[in-house]
Amino acid sequence: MAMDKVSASPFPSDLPPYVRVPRKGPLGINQHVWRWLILLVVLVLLGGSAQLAKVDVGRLVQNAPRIGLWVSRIFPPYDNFRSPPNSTELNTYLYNALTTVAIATIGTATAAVLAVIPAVFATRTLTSSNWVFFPTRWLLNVLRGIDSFIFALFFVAAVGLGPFAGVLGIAFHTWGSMAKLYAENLENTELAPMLALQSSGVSRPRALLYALLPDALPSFISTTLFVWELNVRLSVALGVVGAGGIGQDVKNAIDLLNFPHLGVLLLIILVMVTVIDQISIRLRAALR
Amino acid sequence: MTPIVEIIDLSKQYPNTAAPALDRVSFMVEQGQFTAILGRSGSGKSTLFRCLNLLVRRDNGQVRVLGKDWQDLSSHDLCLARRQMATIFQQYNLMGRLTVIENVLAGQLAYVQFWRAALRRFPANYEAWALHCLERVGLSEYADRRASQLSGGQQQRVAIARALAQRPKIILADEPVASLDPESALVVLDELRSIAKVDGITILCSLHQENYAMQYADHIIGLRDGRVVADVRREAFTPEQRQRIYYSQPAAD
Ligand SMILES: Nc1ncnc2c1ncn2[C@@H]1O[C@H](COP(=O)(O)OP(=O)(O)OP(=O)(O)O)[C@@H](O)[C@H]1O
Ligand SMILES: [Mg+2]
Repeated sequence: MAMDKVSASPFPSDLPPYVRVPRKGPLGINQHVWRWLILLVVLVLLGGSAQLAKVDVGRLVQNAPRIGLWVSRIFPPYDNFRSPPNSTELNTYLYNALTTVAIATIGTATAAVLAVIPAVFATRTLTSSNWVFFPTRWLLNVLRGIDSFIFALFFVAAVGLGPFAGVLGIAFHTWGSMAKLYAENLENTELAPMLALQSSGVSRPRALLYALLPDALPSFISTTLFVWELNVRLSVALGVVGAGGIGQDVKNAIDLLNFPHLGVLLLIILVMVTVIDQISIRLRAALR
Repeated sequence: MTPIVEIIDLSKQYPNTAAPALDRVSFMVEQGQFTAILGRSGSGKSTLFRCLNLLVRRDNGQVRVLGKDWQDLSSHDLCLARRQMATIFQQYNLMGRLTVIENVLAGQLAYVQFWRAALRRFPANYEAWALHCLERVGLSEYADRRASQLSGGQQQRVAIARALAQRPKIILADEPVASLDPESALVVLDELRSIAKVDGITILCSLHQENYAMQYADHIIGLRDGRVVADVRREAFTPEQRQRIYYSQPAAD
């Protein structure tokens, strides 16, 4: 019967109240005012972007039937006008898919090897000299700032059409971004074992190789696999600018409105990317 | 006997700090002795060791190790000089992903060709010596384990084996037992003690606890707020000196 009255709080009720002091952000403006201001700025930026990018939902809705028609003609990959690829064509497509993986693989591997030394120079904890640190960072930022796609366009012009231009495109951009990722890995690696060796007369390069590298290696490999995975997807698109691989076939099929072939090509790409993702994910899990 | 380490008026202040970490420190260490450096946290023990192995540069004073002032040396000559001195750290600082024997072999890393260092392939007699050093600390059956799989006490003994493998004249041990349980601590200190006795290697060992120093050291240096407040043979260590090291009265002179 007294149970109903147990709503009394178990905490003391006679303490002085907590008075919230309004927190001031930068410029002495209240924090919650700041929050609204930031939200407003973000909205304005998004609105401006939509304007510049000519976002037009009406056009999308208007053309929805055509898009639906295209999709329906792609799947299933045959129609009344064209036949699906015959076995010779299919073999070519599979071969080109393999080429696409190869472009990404050799491009990524080359970049991985080239990235190690600049990564050391771009790590603040390892490189105290500003004369080495900043130029390395700048170089890496330039390499990273230019997309593989742009590099590939350039190399198609320089070394001609074909997969090699794709390899060079991927290698150069990846060199920059991989070195930066490696540098981040190195920054998170413990320095004490390396310093311990140096304090007993081991030269710096040896200490780096013997103490730091084995420790950083798993994260290096993990990073490399992750970038490889990205690069496989990217190298599909490289075919479009004439850098070889299955992307070239996709472009041709779209140009000729050859939907049955397009369907098969998309299926091949889907399978290829899924397999690569799985390999990469599993290998990375095994490293942990 | 000529001193193997000679420190005169050594001062060191880190940037952006109010007080010097070391303030006109002077003392000498004789060859083959086990010297304990006692002091509370922040008294400057680690800084003293870093000034000895040149992990930091001092501001003032002289430090002579094996008759030479190492701070004047070129980086190449410093590398050569540092081979004479091994350091053991509170946190062991082993390469956790490498095997125990590879960690011990690191003591000989400065002596092999570069490609061998890069590939971790050592000559057979180097490996035999490393194994011998590992036997000294009673861990030869762990040779092929990953170092990170060992207990703290075992890892510290691997660090001692690495120091031995280097064949140094001096071993600096910066709070080698501060992370260990009392039992492992005694094993590690016994090991260091025997190295001083058997191999004639000079040992400088910083310790928090005075009772370890009384048990193992030949000589005791007391630091307080970066100053030397005791410099005596163990037998002559007095309660007043203990007081000066540990209790909150202003340091004398
Ligand atoms: N890298 C540094 N930068 C600035 N101040 C430092 C640095 N290292 C140490 N100090 C300061 O120098 C003084 C001595 O530190 P030191 O590490 O030598 O003491 P310690 O006796 O080894 O202490 P502990 O027993 O805690 O290891 C302390 O006041 C510390 O705060
Ligand atoms: Mg310390």
